[in-house]
Amino acid sequence: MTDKYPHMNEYWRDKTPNLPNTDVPMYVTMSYSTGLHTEGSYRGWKYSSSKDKWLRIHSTQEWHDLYQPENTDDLQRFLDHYLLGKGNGWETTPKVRVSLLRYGDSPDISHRPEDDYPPSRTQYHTLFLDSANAKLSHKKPGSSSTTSYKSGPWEEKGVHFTYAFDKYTEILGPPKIKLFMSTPDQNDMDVFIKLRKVDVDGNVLTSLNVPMKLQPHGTKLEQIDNLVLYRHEGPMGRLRASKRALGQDPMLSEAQVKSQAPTELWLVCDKEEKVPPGTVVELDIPIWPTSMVFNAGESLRLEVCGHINNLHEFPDSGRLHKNLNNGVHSVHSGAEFPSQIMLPLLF
Amino acid sequence: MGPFRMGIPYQRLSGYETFQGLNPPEWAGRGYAIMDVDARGAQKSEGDIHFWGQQEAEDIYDTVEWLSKQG
Repeated sequence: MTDKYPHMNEYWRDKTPNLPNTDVPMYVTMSYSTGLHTEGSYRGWKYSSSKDKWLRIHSTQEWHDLYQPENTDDLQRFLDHYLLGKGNGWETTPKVRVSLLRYGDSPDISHRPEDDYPPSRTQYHTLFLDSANAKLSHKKPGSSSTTSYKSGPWEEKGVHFTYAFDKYTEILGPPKIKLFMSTPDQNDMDVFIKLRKVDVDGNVLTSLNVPMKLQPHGTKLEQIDNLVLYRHEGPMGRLRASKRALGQDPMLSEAQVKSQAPTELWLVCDKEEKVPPGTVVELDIPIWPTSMVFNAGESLRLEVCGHINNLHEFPDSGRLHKNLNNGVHSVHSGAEFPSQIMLPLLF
Repeated sequence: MGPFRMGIPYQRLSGYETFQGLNPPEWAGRGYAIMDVDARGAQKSEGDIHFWGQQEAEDIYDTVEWLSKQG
């Protein structure tokens, strides 16, 4: 259908729920690791008009979460309160409970109460890309530079930019990225973004969606399938350059627009603006709502590449994904083209 | 449940649960009935699948209204 209707129209509008129309009590779960539902869970919770709504962000895969006895008890307390009218104290449950992913061998943080997601105490920090040294830094690089990757081949890993944290830091919320990019070979680009966590020794980490202690007895780490169900590499962002126009969700109220995090973006998808070969174009790319925890010395790695770059739903299904890329993509940085990422941070 | 066990022991579920659905015997024991409804055009329901959108929303509304009158 995306071939038949490449832009927003009545067909797609019919598939888009009017979230502010929802005003019933809500028990909302969300995870960072699903390849499908994170953004929808976040928006469904955030933009409903319901006064009585609870968000529980869990650290595991959603089927795993659904059948844990303590989660069944939690859901029953909500249902007993609203359907059976039981005075069971449900309303004193924190409205927002978050989890934070620490990746690697470190256990996740779960059920942490917050006043909001992202919390109201969040600080939004901008890091600038430096294509000359493949780093991210708080200071805009003085000189302009460019780095490039081949966008077509599956083996091509793209370009990476890293930032080492000097103190304990949490990313909690949706990040966003602004890239100045060009290609001499085509009039469009499909750009794929991923954020990874790197340990102090330079190892790139993944997060397990089912904790090892809840796998069958004797399961070894290398036996865990390399699928999106079981492992999470980090949050993603994607954009086709010709569909880069930003706007505002017309369904949101004025108050809801004001409540948006500075890192939330809305792609209109109502027109196509091709990019003449060689022209530098400004791409604003939303990244999935997420959480990543860093100790001092651990690093964030921003990856930019030309093909789908996450784990797959089923074995060997990844390369079935087609895009329009063919040729070289360049990422520009510096004063004239200040490519940057904005992160929701807690310290 | 789904196509993978996802760390859920066999004895935790009954086999009566549908894909991504709650486990009926467990919830019956908690005082609730679980109803798994086939959407218009899916499984044993007639008609054409609409893939979300206004039609499915109205079907769900009608289903809830009907259920509320079954006592």
